[in-house]
Amino acid sequence: MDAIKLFNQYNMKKELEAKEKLRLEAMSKVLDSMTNQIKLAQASKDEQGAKDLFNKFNLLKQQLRDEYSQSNQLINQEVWKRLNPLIEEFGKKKKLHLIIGANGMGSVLYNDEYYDLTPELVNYVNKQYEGQ
Amino acid sequence: MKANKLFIAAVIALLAMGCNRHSLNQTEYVRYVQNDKNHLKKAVKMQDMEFDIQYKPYEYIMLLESRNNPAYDKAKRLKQLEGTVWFNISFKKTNTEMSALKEGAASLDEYDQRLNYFLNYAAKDIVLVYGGDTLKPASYLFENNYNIGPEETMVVGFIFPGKDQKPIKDMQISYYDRLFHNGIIKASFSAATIKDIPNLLNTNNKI
Repeated sequence: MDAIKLFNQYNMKKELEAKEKLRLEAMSKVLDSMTNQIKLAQASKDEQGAKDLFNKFNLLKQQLRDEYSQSNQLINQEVWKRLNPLIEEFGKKKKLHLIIGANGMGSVLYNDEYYDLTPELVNYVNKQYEGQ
Repeated sequence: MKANKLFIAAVIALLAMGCNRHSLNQTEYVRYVQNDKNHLKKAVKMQDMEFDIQYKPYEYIMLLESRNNPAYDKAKRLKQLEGTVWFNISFKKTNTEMSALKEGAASLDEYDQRLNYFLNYAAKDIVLVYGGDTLKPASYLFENNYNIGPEETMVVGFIFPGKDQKPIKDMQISYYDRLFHNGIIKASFSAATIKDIPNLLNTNNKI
């Protein structure tokens, strides 16, 4: 199975990203508004004001980058925490002896669609996630 | 003519059997609701945690509340519950007998923060999709078990939009677990499953 496809097509991952996107976009809007304030300060030759705003801007920008990175890390952690037992459950139900996770890092160099259970697994994990 | 009579008798017998199957006494009713095979209780399992979401029909609530309470007015309670829907969201760590609130908490402060979240904030992370409407909890209670057992429970109630007196549409409850970082926990209950809940036979006997 394609681990990246499974991760990206898992509904919970999409929903968590959508929630985080809203929060990060709100932070990003503050940055945009600060850019305008800096331009205004520069236009009115308020050098000290522009400098202070620029420092604040850089701090916030760094904070946004950290938040973005932490949020990605957390989503990754939460999603795999849920996917791992579901993959195991799926394997047991299908009486599989081994599930190989292709992740594009070279562990699986080629497979044809005959052995690819990704669509079936995506369907299974999403059905379980939706609580049906 | 004889064949017709036989056919009618067979239909009546089948209907009677059907009615019996859908009417339960109090003990059977409670067991039916709590049996996950009947799809009124859903489990969501993670690596080290488990969430159980129990849909609670009015009769089930009434039966549990009236236990050891002879003064309990069942009819009045059933009337009060009309227009609402109730769930228990229980959770526990699967690798310990300790309460999830206590397990892994580095200090009393951390335990207090966890407890505070469940007492005051967790309700904001719960929604119910009822038909096409997204509902926020109208009532929320955290049943603190004071570390007596591993399982903790959030009791949550919603008020139906419009004039629905009992659930008649598909429902999906979801809880965004911000504390233990398990993502979004969902449980769906179809209108057909709710409709198939057996009748309660006699509400006067003790369970």
